[in-house]
Amino acid sequence: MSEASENRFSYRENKKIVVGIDIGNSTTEAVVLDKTAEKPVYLSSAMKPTTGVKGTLRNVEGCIAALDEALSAAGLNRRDVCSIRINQAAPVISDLSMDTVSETVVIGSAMIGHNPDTPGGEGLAMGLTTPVRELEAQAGQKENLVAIVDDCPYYEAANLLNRAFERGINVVAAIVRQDDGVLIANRLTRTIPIVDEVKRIDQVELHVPAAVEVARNGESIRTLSNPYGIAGLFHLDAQQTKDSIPVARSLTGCRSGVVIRAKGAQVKSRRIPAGTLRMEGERKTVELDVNRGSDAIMAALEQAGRLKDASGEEGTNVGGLIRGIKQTMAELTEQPVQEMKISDLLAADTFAAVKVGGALAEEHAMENVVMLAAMVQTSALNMNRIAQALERQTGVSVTVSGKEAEMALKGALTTPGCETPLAILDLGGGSTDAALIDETGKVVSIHHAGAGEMVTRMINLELNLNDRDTAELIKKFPLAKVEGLLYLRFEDSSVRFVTEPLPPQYFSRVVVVTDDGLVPIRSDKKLTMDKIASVRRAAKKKVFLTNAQRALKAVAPEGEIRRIGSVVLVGGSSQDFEIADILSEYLSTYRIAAGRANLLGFLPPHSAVALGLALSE
Amino acid sequence: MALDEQLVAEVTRKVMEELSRYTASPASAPAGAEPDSDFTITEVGEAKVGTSPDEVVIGLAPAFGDTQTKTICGIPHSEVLREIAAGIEEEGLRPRFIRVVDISDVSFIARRAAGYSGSGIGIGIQSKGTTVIHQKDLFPLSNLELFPQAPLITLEIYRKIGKNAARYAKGQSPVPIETENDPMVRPTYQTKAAVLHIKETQQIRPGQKPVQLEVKWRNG
Repeated sequence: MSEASENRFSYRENKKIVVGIDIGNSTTEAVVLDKTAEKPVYLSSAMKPTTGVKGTLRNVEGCIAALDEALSAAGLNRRDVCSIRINQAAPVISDLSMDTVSETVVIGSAMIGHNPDTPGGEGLAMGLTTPVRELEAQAGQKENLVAIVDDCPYYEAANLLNRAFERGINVVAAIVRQDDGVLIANRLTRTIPIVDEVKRIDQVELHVPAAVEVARNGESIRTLSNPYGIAGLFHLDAQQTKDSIPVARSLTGCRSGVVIRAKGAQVKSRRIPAGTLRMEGERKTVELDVNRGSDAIMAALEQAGRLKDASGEEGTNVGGLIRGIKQTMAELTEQPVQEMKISDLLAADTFAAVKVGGALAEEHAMENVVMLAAMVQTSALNMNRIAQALERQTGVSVTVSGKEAEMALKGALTTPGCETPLAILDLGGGSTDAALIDETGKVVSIHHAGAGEMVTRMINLELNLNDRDTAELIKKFPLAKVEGLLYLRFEDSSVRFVTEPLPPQYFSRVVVVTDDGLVPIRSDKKLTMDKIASVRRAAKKKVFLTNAQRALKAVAPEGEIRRIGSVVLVGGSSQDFEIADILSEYLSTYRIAAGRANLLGFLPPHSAVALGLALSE
Repeated sequence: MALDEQLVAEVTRKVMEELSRYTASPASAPAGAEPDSDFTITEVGEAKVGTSPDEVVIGLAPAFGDTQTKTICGIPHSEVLREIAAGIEEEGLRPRFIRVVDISDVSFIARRAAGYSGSGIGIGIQSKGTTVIHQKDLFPLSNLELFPQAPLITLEIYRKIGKNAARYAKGQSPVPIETENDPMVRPTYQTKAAVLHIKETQQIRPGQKPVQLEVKWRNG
């Protein structure tokens, strides 16, 4: 830092060794360059986890770990280093929150979207609900829809039904409490549709009209999933048909379904008041209801222009959400809450499985959820304190040099085939940043909320995993299914054979193929490989594609993405196995060359900032 | 403590006494689980290796349903087999029963059943109730799912064992069945388990191949 201290060091063979250290949100990277000659020579690099929260003194530990590893790889020690440069971290931190905005409730003896694994028989039938033990007494009734409760095992139920058939009692369908649908159907002399696993069958109202439908294997029901189908069966008027829409919707795509028409029974899907969001932008201030969904929020944000601050209606979900984010940020940066200003938001629609209130078979409904990522602009993080501490501990002069975006650009420009004007997209964990350098060397940069962490949360929520670590792995690595103990089938349906048998706990499971081996996904939600892959891709598109569009538009000359020459992807998430492809595909429609950075022709893209720092004068 | 032959003989006598009293009192068996008088297991010649992919083979230990008729906690073998078979059938597959006669170790019985199963999935079950789900490519002492604490296995769990085995056979990814784990089970049942196992082992017919079984219940 000071002239006096720099003179204390002796440099090996008069060489000028410079180290750039980039402290990121999750990793700390060091790049060692020999800058004795005019053209710098790359010596080594290292990557270590960041210790503590970015911008705090605890980072020093991680810096030293990365520094030492990089130096030893080059056969150097600290005394050989002439100077260290660390990054001026962008003064933005982001956080995430989410809220359910819709709710399904069942009132009375109705039933929604019940889809047991193994219904029995097939067909559509309608009748009055009758307990199996009272069948004899109902000999005169036209159509009986039998309810089979717990105390009647499958073989007995089958016998009772067969006897009823023989005596000419008209049994058209059955609902069962236990998981016995196929067992009963296999023992009947006639084929009737049977829906099983109706957990609260004792609450089903008796002697009321009901309909049961079971589709063939691989098909889904057609009549009960159609409001007009329900209307036809139950002779509903126009208003009642409208009321039956949530029932029909909840049965869409199911293999079996039951609809019971008890007096006063209803299924309601309603929006939960989530409060209004107020966005103060440069152009204008916009207020809107969060219930209107992510598209409306993002459109309003664009109208508002660059955000000065945002707040939520007090006493509502969104109010608590935004206050929570500000509170966290204030604690992190040790600054008063009043100074925390939201500088960007990203909203995305997602859904979560929520248990339906009052349901008869413990059904779940996929409820709408709005997820919000917000970013807070703080006054500059105190990187100078870190620099001083690092200098004290290493005995090497440390400088804080340059803005992160400029350094990343400098590093990215070493990619063979790149020239100005050049844009970089820095896909990180908490934020998506973009920077553009034009022919004159002028740099524009922008930070947007929402990145890798949001994708992880979305995967966790939509697949109902309740396990962040598994969600993170699903995000990062491709999937495969262990079809036999000696071979795996991958997402692209290619097959790999293994020489050693796989562990038995992997058998028949969908696994994540990580660098350190296979990790099985444990979930009782019957997740197929295709389902997981499509949720994963959709989540990445919702976050990264939206943010890439916003960010590039913001830095592009006059907001025209077409005028950006080429785009280089850097940052941790750019190494993801499919994000780069998703973005390249999108950007190719603008005739923009886009791809992962290939620093100096051989370094991975996450070292861009560290390399830029080491290169800078 | 000095362990001489006399003491061992005395303990064994006490245990046998207790056992005979226990099996004599039907009150200890779960309600609604009286032995099915029309339940029959008939041996119908040497078992063949199956070829149809929709079967799960259930391998019975030498004494199962024969010289022994209840599990260690008094569940009739007829009910155990009925629930396992029902679990398999509910998933749309067919159960097939064989008896493994030359060994009484549950892992080997299960592995043998898997080897005879057209789907490659087998279930092995000992007279005292210990159960294993196995796959034909695994080593015998490995397994897909193991239910080691026989006294804690209920009829609901036997049904789930059948279901899960069938799901493995279909290439689905079932969640392993949750069972209780009671550290007191071992000390409480150790002697009884040992005696039952010895009695099972006495039924071994060395060198004989697995036998195909026909299992019938009163109510089908």
